[in-house]
Amino acid sequence: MSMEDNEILDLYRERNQRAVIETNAKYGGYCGKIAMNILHSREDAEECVNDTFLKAWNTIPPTVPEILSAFLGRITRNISFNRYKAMHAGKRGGGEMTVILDEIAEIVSGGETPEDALSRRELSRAIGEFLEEQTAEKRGMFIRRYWYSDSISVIAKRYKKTENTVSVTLNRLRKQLRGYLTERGFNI
Amino acid sequence: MKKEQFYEAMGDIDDRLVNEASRSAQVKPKTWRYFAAAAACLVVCAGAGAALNHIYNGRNTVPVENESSAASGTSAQPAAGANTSAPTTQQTETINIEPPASAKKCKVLAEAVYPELPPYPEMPTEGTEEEWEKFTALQEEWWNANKVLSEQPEGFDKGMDEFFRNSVGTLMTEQDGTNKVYSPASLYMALGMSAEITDGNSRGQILGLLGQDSIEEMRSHAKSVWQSVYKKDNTATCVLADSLWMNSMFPCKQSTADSLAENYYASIFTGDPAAEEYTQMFRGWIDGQTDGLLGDYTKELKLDPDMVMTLASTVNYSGKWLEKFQKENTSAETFHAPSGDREAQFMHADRQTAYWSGGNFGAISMSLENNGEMRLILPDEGFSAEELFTDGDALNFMTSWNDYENGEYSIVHMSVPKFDVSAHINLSTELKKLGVTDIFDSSISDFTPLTEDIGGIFISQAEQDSRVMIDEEGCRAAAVTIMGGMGAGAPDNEVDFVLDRPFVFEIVGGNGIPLFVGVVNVPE
Repeated sequence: MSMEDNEILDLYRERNQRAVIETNAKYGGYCGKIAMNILHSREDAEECVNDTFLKAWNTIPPTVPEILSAFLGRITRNISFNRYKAMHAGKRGGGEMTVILDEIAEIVSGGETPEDALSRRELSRAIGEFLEEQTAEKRGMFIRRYWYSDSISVIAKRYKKTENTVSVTLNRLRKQLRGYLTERGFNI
Repeated sequence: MKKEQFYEAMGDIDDRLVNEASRSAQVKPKTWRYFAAAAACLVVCAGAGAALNHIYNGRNTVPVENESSAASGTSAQPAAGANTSAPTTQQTETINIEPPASAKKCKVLAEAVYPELPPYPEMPTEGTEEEWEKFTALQEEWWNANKVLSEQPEGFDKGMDEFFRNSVGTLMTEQDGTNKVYSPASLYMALGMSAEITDGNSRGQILGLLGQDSIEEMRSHAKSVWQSVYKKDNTATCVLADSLWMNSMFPCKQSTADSLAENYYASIFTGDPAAEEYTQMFRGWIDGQTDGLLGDYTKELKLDPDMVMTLASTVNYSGKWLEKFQKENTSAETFHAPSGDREAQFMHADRQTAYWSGGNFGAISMSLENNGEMRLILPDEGFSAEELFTDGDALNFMTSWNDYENGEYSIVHMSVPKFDVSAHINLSTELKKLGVTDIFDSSISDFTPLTEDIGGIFISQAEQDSRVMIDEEGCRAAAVTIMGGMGAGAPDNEVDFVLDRPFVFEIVGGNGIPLFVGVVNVPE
């Protein structure tokens, strides 16, 4: 049986290196899938997963995540996406990630926006509020596509829909989200 | 806003939503294929009958199969017409370690059955749902199979700490400038088997050294120790392998053979020790159990033609660092050996980890994926590595398992020499110092649980040969400089940990069982 999350977090607090081993044991595959979805390279994904656990070691404490899986997944996602950007700087990357970003391009203008941590947090909160208003299934599809970076076919199988249905649903959600954010004054 | 910025902002939505969209899969580590530390150890205890040729009375001779193909018999071969009944065996198939064609004489009296562990599954290269579900299921199976072995009853390692302290205090303290390697776990198993094949005071002395109250307790604890460290899959290896090689003239009692197989995971063989083929099989078994790491030693190894039995115990270990050393950071630097300065290849890394300060030493530990940890212990200036084995505080650290208190979370600037060290220990003298004397004296030894077909059995040879090596390889890990970017939890303490003079290493398996301990005086 895997160790409970609170037991793993106790190991981090005690600065016990078993924390990393147990984290890898429980969430290595979860993080690996997120990294693979973004990078499509097993070697790169492995490196990002390792980086994730080392960052977790450095961050806990003082941070105490409420949901360890999401906390780790977010680190993996950030690291993997940073690597993706570095690998494809100035050129199209190809693959599923490029398709996902092209879909997101339908939501945003594509123009330069000053980096502003506060506005990014507000934007994240607003996206969350928009998703809260959707049905669980639509919300799940959207998050699987734009957070987990799943392919359309994987999402279709998960929700037992046709790929066309998923594509149409996501298309509608993107348009609704753009309108939702614009109405609330976001310069996207 | 650029699409990349939006994608990043999407990443910060509430964890609860992310979790909801997750299938809550809880999965296990991926496969890392590099190995950072490899070690092997062999304990050989050869038992001979006192004045074998004279005592032997021709009873219960076990002729070999295909006897006509056997090499010439030993001086102790039975006289013509002697009883040729088979030994009290239940399993008589020819052993399956690829014996030479002429070695059909060898039989298995009892065979160890190792637990079956599933391999760690390959991570899918494509992210389809079916592949990941299958991967997750296989990971769960792998994890549960390992947990069954690693979780042992409380107290299963009773006596191990005391045995460790006593044995290193005897075996590791000579300050002769040579490298030292010793496997407490291997000697523990070899002595446990020796207790099984002896009785009376012979057994009592062994149980006393191992801290066991009875042979029943010995069996239970030996089995637990064996299981607690056992790893054998594509992520790590740690196998304690035991065997007993009988002279086919003297049948081993089947109940004893069965107990050895059941409790010590031992295989029991019988054959003609004068036959080259039997020696070849003996060597082959050892090389097979240690992946050939002890080849220089085993090629010279021979079974004594006059032996009654030979007992062999091995440890085969390999693992990879949880945090790898980067090869580009390895450089040639000076190591101050007792015999003079010499060049060694030093691996460098900066780690945020616990640094332990003892009264006369500093130490760190480096975890190995799914396979315990290696501790590196540097004596303070003016204190020798060997002296640490009589230093109570250092021994407290070596026998601790997450409970040594003088540690501080630190930035450690590590300089660790690559090394490949081996050592040979003559155990006979040292075991006598530790109170195990009767098994070496044919006039008082008691080997009746092994066989009653010959008296005066005594241990004529007991030795251990070990080798440990480390290098940079292991799972890939980010440099600490990347970790520092998180800006949280960075330690205040900063330590230079430079192993440029003799130091102690210790490899401990799961649950803190001491697999290897050694002194690097010359990092070859």
